[in-house]
Amino acid sequence: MMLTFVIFGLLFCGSLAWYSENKSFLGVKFQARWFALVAVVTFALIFVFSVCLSPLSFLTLQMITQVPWINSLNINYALALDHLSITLIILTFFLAVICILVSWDEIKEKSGFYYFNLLATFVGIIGVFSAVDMFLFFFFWEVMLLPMTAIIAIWGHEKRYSAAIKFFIFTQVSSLLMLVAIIAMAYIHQQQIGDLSFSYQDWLSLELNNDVAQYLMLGFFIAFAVKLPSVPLHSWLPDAHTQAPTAGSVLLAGVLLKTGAYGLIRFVIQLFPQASENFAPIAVTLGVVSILYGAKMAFAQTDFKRLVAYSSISHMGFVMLALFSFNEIAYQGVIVTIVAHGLSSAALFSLAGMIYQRIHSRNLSDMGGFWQSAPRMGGFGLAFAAAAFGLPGLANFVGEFLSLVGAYQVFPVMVILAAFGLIGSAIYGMVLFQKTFQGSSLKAVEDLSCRELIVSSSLLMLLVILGLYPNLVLQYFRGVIL
Amino acid sequence: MSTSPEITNSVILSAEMFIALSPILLLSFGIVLSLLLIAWRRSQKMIALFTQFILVITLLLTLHLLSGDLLVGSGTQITTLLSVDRFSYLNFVLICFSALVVVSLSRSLLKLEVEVHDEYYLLILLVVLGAGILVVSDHFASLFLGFELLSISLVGLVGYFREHKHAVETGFKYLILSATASSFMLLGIAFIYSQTGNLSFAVSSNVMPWSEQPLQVFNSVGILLLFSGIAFKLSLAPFHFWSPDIYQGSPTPITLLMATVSKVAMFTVLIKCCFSQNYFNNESFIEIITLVALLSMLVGNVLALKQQNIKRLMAYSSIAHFGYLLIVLTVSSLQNTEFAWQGALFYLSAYLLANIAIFTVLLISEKNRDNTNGDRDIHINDWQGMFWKSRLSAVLVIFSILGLAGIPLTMGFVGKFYLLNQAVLFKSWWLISGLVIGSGIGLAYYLPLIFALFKDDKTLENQFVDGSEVYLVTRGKQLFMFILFISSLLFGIFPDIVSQFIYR
Amino acid sequence: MNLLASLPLYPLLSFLVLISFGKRLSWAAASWLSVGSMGLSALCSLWLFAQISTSEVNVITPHLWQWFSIGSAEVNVSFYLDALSAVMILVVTGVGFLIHLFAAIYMKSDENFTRFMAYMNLFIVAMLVLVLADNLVLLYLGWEGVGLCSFLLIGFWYQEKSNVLAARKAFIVTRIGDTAMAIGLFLLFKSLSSLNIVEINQLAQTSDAFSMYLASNGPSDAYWAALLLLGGAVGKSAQLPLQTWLPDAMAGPTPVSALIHAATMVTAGVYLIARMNGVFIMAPEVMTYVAWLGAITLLLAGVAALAQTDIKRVLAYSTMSQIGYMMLALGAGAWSAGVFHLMTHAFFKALLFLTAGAVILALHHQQSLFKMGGLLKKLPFESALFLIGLACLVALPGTSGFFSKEAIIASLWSSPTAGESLWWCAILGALLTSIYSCRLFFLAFLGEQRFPKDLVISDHLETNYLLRGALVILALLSLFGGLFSVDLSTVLPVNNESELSPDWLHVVAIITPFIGITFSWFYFKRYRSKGITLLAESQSSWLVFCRNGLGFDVIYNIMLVKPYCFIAQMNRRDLFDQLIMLSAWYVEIWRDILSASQNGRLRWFAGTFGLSLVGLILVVIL
Repeated sequence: MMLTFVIFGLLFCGSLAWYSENKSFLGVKFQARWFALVAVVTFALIFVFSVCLSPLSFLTLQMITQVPWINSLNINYALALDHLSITLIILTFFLAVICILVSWDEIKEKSGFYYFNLLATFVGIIGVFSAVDMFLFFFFWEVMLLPMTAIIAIWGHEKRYSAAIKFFIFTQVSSLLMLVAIIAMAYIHQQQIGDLSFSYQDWLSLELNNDVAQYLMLGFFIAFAVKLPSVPLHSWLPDAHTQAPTAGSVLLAGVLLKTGAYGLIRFVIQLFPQASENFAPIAVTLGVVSILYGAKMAFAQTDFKRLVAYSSISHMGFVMLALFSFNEIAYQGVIVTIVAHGLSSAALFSLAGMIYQRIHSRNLSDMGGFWQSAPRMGGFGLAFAAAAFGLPGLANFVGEFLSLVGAYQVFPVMVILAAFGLIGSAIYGMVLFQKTFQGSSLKAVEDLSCRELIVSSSLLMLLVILGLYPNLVLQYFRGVIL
Repeated sequence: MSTSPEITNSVILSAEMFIALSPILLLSFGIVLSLLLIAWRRSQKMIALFTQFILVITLLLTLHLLSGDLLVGSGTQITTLLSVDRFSYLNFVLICFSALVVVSLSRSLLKLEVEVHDEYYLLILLVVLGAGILVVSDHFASLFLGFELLSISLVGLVGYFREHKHAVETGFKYLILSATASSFMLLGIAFIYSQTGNLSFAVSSNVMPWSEQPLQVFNSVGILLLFSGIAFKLSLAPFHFWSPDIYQGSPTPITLLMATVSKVAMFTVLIKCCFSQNYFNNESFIEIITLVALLSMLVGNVLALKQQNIKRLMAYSSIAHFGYLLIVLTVSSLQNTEFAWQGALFYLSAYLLANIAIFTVLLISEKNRDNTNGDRDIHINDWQGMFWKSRLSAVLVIFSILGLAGIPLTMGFVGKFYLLNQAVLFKSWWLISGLVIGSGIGLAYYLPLIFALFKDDKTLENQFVDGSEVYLVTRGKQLFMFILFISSLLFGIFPDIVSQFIYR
Repeated sequence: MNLLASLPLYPLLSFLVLISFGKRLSWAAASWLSVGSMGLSALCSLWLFAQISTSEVNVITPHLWQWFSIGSAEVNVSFYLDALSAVMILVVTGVGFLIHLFAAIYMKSDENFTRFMAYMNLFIVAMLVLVLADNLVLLYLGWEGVGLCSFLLIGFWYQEKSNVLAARKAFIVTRIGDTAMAIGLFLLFKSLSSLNIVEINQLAQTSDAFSMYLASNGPSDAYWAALLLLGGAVGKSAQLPLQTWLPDAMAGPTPVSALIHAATMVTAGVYLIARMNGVFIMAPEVMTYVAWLGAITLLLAGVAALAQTDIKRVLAYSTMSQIGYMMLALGAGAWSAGVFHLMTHAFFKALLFLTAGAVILALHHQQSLFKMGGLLKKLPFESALFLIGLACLVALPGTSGFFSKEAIIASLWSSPTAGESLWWCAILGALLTSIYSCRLFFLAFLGEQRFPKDLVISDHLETNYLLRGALVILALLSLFGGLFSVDLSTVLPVNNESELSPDWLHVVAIITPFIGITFSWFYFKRYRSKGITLLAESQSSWLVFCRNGLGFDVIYNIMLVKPYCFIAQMNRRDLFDQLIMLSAWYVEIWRDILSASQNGRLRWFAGTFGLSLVGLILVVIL
């Protein structure tokens, strides 16, 4: 019930923010950003408390809400939670706050509509993480897409339209494949059990013969591989990340990519264990290729955000690699990597936003020597870059280490190849940091403002805490065998 | 449906049949009345109101029949020519509704023109009558009758505003081409007759199955010719060439009429014909359908890319949409016709609502733009920044376009979902891949249109004296648009409302 | 217990304070904070060392918290102090403290003084973690941490492009080694399912599967694990083939070179190998490799040092070759000798660097040997200290360097994994060492004064007694540090075969440096004798080749850097993106074709109608 309340409450607040744009109450001009901030924080608190207070143990999926929706097709509005989804939703809320803070001064015009889209995206994401009726899941999966596209297309940078279209088409086409797979599953359920069903739990009990399962698995896999993204389906990401406004990039890198990982964990692997087992070699290869290719491409970029975008591709490669080695250690690594990358990439993108606001350029050649004038920013820049290339003591290291150790038990050669990604990441990390903050200082920029300081330090603190005490998250994922 | 021969021989119009047929009869009666009305007094306002009145009555009557239990089950056979069943009348409801919209939209358009236009309304009524006959027809003769009635009166309407640029040209094109189409169709009917010896849809279903039929090539060719005639009206590829020009050339309400009434009617009769004659057992026919469907999906979407003129764009996109719709014809057995009907109905109504919405806004912006230069076509960049100037119409357009693109929250998505269900159920992977690719390409022109609404060029800003002036909308239209929006949203999120209405 | 746990804490706190307050701190406050914290931890480690060496307790293992757990194996943040790590912490904190003291005065005038001291403190923290870690993952944390600090400190004057590049090079080259080490960790965990150092060392001995030579998949796990760990060590300790970063690292301030690139960090590789002796013993081939790598590095570095013109680069190359000695010792199985040399080397190399720093500062940042000369009169104090340092370096009898180096050389001859040839290498190395040391001394301190006469020696160092004190203590340590040699037999395996080797070896070993000195006394006559003003060394290509590190940089540039950059540049516009855009372009073409068919001609429309009908009919009939 409370989840539904959160979802619809957020949506309502969003539309309220849109509606009351440039109106004023009691002589006070309406501030969409304050409104959105308050709304998100409130609902975050509501969510966290209701989870903490709930008697359920979320070790396995716990059904939260289930009401019939489309009877003629036996589709329900069904939400469920377990530790995975709770973790991701909390991450979403945290990054939501970050998003609002980074777009605080960036978004001047049409702010009401902007915050409506932002909140709508959060709603879609939370829905994706909690829906267990596949039709509903698909519904949210698409709904999350619309406002995101709007954000890119309206408040983005110079090439925003083509980027938005690319982003949309990639996701749409791949998810149509998933839709076909979903429908097919429903009919298989009808053949085996007798009634049409879109419920995830019902599907778990199906037994599929191998080649059918293989195809259906592919249907899901492609959709999630596009979102993750994995080479060769990644090419929407650099454009989208680069062209989106700061908050958009933060959201894309921080959470939207994670929906792909979530889908792989929850649906591909758990619905089609055998099929994905057979598919593992290919998937792992894709993961390794993504790691290396992403690192290499990142090194080649001259655009700050583009570089970070490619680095995310590289990081998500670790997730793919670890997931498909079906190993508890690797799985824990995946969880940490997901959270850690959510934080670190968000941090880097907000840093990019801060720099962009100062020099109105994302081009690395316009940067340099900012340490002189903005030592704090430099410090945070270093820390975030270090997180990106997996410095021990920051969260990403734990994730990558666990993933690789786990995967090494199964695919030693692949992991050895993947380890070269560590070198690659060091190279692009160095390039990113040094071209921005070192070298002769071209122009002086003012140091972080209080708001930016809050954003950066909260992100860094979380990175360090998770880096030194990952059990904070991991304790919930003990003994989970895929 | 089984029809025992003695009924077919002795034609008795029983009371029940009369009631079943009453909407059509009422409509034709209305036409006669309006003729008399014109003879009595030529008044723009009166005739318009009268037409609307007739249409409303017909609509209500049909709805009443639907809500009654007269049409439950197989429906009623009225002579050999017509048979009324639930689905045909559901489609008739759609037809009447869109006709009503067309009429009310036309009023505002016609106000601009100097001379009086009584024939205009008359012709519209005739079109609706033709469509009505088509949806209830159960016999090739009645099919042809309805077809001709529809096309001839449409020809009249297409070229109606003689003084407009390419009005006459358009009318002429349409005349010639539809004449060609109907002649082919006639030939096809003749071929079929030569094989089955019967012109009724129902009968040939109980002759021996397709496989051991003599000279089944003839039959297939006949079916093909028949199909090509209908495909022309539905502007399916490769019979689609005419549609963009005609769409562009004819006055906007008439374009809407063509996009909705004639296509819905044609598609209905196509489904009826195929289902009652078990064409789906004829693999060569299925082959053709699949081929045409794929062609239409791809050609329509590809042609619409980079299209600036909105009317043409709608024409192309409708090609693609009827390509998708053909999926319902590939059902493999009689048991599934119910589901196919449901899918078709849902998709049609989604398509209808979207088209109505877009054309309404189109007409408004046509009206409010300065017609100093000759061409009255609206291009995408005329709609730039609409979102910030008149939110309601922009939201409506965005929503309808998303519907056409088949994005959730809209009816279009549910419609597409039904079609996919169908396709998956019968494992027609070709059509599925066509649909996926098609909608992928489709996004490449739907999205730019949407983005254009969000664009606000400062250069365009100062062209308009006052932003709100440009999208000046009357209260009535605002209400109408609002209702459209709400209903399509509602049906999009709770499709059960519709499907419950379909089988109550 | 808690004393040990708190050891890294003081520098950490000081680091946090310094970094958060930054320039708002006055010089006095900042230096008191950083140096004081170092002094505190130095005292603590002295106390701990006393505890250990009086062996009332063998090991101290404070457990802080569980970091994470790999399956069943726990990875804890907990320390492990035994004799070996006790020696290390003593060196790190002791030498570290002195260098901090020096740096506080040396860097006084720098505008980013607090940042500098903060980095230094952070480095000490990381180094202590590295040394004290009880499992390899925590060690890896420290390992990467010192890497980062060295990166920051090399690039401390980040405004110069060259420093930035040097820093990047250092980081990336060492990172290559680290990656090898990481893979080694994976391998170790797979085959021993533990990452705790003590456990690994025991399991390595016991489990057969680990050390067994499997015919099927080639060498044993032990072999690979040792090799990979060696990779890490080679990276950090600037041995072949990853040695190229060290000379460039001299771009950093001199105290940094003293602390990180001479005394502590670069010896981490040696420490790693000594730590993981259990694994290496299981893989004798690898130990031979270690020995040989050490030997070759030792020689090459010696040769390169002969040709340098920059005083710091000479010292850098000598560091490289001294670490080569340590590697040699480890490879020969003379573990404690290696560690002993590590300690003494830390003392005298720190001394050398700091004195060099003092000299450089006195000459207003003049580093070229050919702009020096005759400093003996100008800076007698520094010269004396430098002389002491060099004496230890060339291992004149009585100095600490003598004892350690002798121990190494003695153990080589009859070691199963080393042998005669390596012994000769070591001797040759000693010869080279003495020669380049003399060359250095002659050029810098004897001979004609080659810097402008009017140049006033800046003497703010002269007057500072604290600084002098630091240098003197280091000098004393390097002289007598050899006396209190630590008993590492509790931790490291001892080999007592050194007696078997014939006695003339010792004689040779002892006289070698003197041969070198006498040789260079005559050979480098023109350097030391007055009246000859040489402006630069002869530019013979051979010398230039040696000066540029024997061409390794060139090779790597051509083989690795260039190709990577080239590929990156070539494919800047993502290949896969292009492919996908290709499909879009294909659709565009079709659009053009089809829209060409939309020419509003009635005739054409009717024609196509008929044609397509015919086509469909053909489809039906055929």
